[in-house]
Amino acid sequence: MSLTNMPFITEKIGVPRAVAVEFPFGMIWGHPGDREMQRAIMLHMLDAVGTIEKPGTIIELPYTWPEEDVKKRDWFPKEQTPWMSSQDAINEMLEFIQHGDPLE
Amino acid sequence: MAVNSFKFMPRTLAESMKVWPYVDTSGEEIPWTPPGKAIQESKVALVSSGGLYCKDDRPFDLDRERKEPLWGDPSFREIPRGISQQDIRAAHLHYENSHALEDYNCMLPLAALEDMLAEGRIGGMSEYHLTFMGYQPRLGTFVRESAPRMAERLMDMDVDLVLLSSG
Repeated sequence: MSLTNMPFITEKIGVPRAVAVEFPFGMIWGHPGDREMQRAIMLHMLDAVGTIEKPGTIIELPYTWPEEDVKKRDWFPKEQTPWMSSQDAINEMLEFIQHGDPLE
Repeated sequence: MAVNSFKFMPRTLAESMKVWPYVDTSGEEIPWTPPGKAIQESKVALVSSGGLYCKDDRPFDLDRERKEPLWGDPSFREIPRGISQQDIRAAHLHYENSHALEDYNCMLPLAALEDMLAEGRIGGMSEYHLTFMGYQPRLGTFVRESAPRMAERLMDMDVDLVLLSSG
């Protein structure tokens, strides 16, 4: 049973069962300390194990990131992501995206 | 899909994710295993791609990724049930780690899972939970070596149900 914040990808790769939240990377179960949200998502997942009958089903949960927190953009890593750190690295990534084999 | 987490990404990343060379499973049947037990009787484990590890364990290799930006450490780690916050570390260059270092439950909610067990909603909880570092552009080693070993480890612990969450 999967929890995803990227159902666009989850759908493409054929995940058997998933629930989806519109939460940022690094906080997919909610804000630090938000035990109620962690519990709520987990209850949905446990419930979905019993209710999903069709492989590939993704249930979208009605949770979104608060608008005032979206403005914080505090999920971005402070260190530049290596593949975006130089033009050579970006070019290498573009080549991979266009012609690469993900199972290499 | 209404859920749109692209809005949390810089534009370069969002555009690349839309055209990413995902493993093409379109001609394959989606794997499907019916639950073997009622949820209330099932032993549950968590698996996270968030790059968490125990402070005494080996970190995921970020230095190599810095040198080879299309490489991601394909190994995995084990996190024991009941681990304290100060014993958790995170090594993942694609999200801000400080939130998980404040409360690892926002990536690996062991406390909520303990609640589920205490409330009788699940039948058991694994003594160890698994983590890996989800940036894997070239998935070969992860798919062929790490994933089967992780599945084997979970089965060795008699886990009935896995809750897998992305980073």
